[in-house]
Amino acid sequence: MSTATGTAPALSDRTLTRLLRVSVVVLVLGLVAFGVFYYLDQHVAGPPSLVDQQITSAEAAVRKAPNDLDARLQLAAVYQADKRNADALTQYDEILSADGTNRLALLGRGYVYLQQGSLDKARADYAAITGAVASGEFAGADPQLQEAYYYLGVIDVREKKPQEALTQLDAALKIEDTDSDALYQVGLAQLQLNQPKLAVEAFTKALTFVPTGWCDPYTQMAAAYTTLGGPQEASYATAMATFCKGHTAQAKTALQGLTDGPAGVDAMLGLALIAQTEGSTADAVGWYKKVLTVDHSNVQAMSALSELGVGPKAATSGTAATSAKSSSTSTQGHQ
Amino acid sequence: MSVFETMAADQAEATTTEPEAPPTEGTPSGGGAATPPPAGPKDRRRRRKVIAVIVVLALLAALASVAGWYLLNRKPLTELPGLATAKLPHYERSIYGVSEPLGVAVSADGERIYVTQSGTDPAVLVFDKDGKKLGRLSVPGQTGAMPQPVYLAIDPTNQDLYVSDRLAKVLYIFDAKGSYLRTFEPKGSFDGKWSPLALAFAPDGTLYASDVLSSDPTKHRIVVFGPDGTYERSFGAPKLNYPNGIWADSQGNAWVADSSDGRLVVVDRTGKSLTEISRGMGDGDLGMPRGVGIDDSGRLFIVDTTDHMVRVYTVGPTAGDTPAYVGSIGGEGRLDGTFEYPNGLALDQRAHVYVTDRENNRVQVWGY
Repeated sequence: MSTATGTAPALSDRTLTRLLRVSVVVLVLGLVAFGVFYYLDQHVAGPPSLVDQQITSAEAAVRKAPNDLDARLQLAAVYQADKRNADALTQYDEILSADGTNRLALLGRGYVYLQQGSLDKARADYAAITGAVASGEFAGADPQLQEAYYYLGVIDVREKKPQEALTQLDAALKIEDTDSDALYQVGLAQLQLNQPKLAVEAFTKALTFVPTGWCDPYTQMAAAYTTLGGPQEASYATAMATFCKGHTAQAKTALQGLTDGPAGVDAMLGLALIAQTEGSTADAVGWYKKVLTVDHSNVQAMSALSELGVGPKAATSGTAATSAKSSSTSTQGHQ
Repeated sequence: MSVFETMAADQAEATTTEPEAPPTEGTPSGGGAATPPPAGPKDRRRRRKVIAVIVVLALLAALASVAGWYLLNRKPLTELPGLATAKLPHYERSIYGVSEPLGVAVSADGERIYVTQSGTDPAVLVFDKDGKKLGRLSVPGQTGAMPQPVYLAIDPTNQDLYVSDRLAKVLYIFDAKGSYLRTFEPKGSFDGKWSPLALAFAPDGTLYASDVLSSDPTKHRIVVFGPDGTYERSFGAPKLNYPNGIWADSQGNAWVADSSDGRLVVVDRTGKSLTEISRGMGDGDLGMPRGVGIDDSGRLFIVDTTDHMVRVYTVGPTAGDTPAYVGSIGGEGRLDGTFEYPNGLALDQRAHVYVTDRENNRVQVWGY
């Protein structure tokens, strides 16, 4: 037996066709069977999320007592946590239709409007609070009033009304003068007013309370220093923003290159802060002491040393020692 | 008739029905440099069919290989050999019904999950893989309650569950069905005074436990017992401060979460420190490490409780190689996939990562 080409066919045409069909069927069935088995074996139906569970229980509470405003406030809050702003608004509206002066509902609804970009509506809710209680007996220590002033300031900053923003933010800071968020907004307003020096002051103060993990003030501070014509100071702020974003080695290199210039004290304080957050207390103490060799009355360095357990006497003597040591190291290095 | 019988019959049919072609004029019939005639449409069609059959059979073989691998491993297909391992897991589900959970252990097949809960009702709870609570473990003679169960580990040689009770200063042992067996009685020269915290078993059944009895944290140590419970050695190299997590490999190295020093240290069987991941702000640096584990793909997981995340690394060929940072999962929050002070960690052999999410009162399950 031979074909036209002179070789014997192992399989006839018909067999090939059948084999192909059978193989395809087996392949398809195998794929389907494996797919089903894989799904059943891997799939585990998880329970509802924590927020869903909270929503379920808050909804049940509202169904049980529809006139309970606290239950509705709770429901609105969990809707907000689940980013269901429309549902949260419905609940806030219900509360405010029953009690138009409910401050928690006004604050909550104002925040939802702010997130949605409805600045006028948000302003109206916050203004309803400030208008009602601004001159009350406890106005000077009212955290809800402080929050309303703060968000009115935020709205003004967004609407590029810096002068109005400063008025609102000043009112917020009169109630809580360590509110770093309000101080940051003051900085933004000063930048809008083309007052970079005042902006730097505000950002610096904001960062006194939250020195790490908050990058925006450093970024804005760099912009302010650039406007002021302070390239080294701007480099310091940029380096701190770099550190804030987690690029520690890069930040350290940048700061070490600034220690001898006009931003030297800030750079050394930055290096001390980095050492502190890295858990290198000895390095941190070393940098703070170096700051005191340049600026004997630097409050930040002194208070940091005090926190680290280095007393004023030790800090002063250590300053001399560190200074002598660093000068000796430097000499050795040159040799 | 089977496929092969059909093929044989067809072959016989072809032999009888297709006559041998006569040698063409001028062409030597005995072979040699014969020029084959050009292939006709029939030959081309046949060749295409042969190729199609080969392709389909190759696909069938590939499917059979994948199915075989899956039946042996029961891991997701994303874990097929040859695919990249340096990747982060994704959130799958949570197990609820536990209050302030600290430690977690899971059977190798992922079917049973044991969780220690702290707070006002300290207990060891048992869940199935769907998160259904099966019950709680009890110790006879103690009104069923354990003073302060913290961490758990499963002996890979017999599936017994060990539970550390820091306050009672004992290890409880339960069998795979959850029945209480006994407390752990060390043999050999162990002084017997300890307050066990973290637990881990090496693949051969060697038990590693951290001891935090001393009020001086610099005296905290890791104690090692052989598979039969005989005291072998202890180390605290160079010093340990509330070690809350241990992972033991088959070479006798211990990966210790030196929690209050903010580092993970790898120690060999002589007590020598091989490498460490330290505290800091850079990529892969730690805050306060707690649970630790390495899966069978060489991925190292460290729970960073103060940073509210789990950090993922890949380990090198030797224990002395510094692990390469892959990334982190989680972040602070109450939503799915975020943590509030995560603590313990366990791994099953199906590429799942179990993390106790203490302040969210749940155990999160992540997978690949």
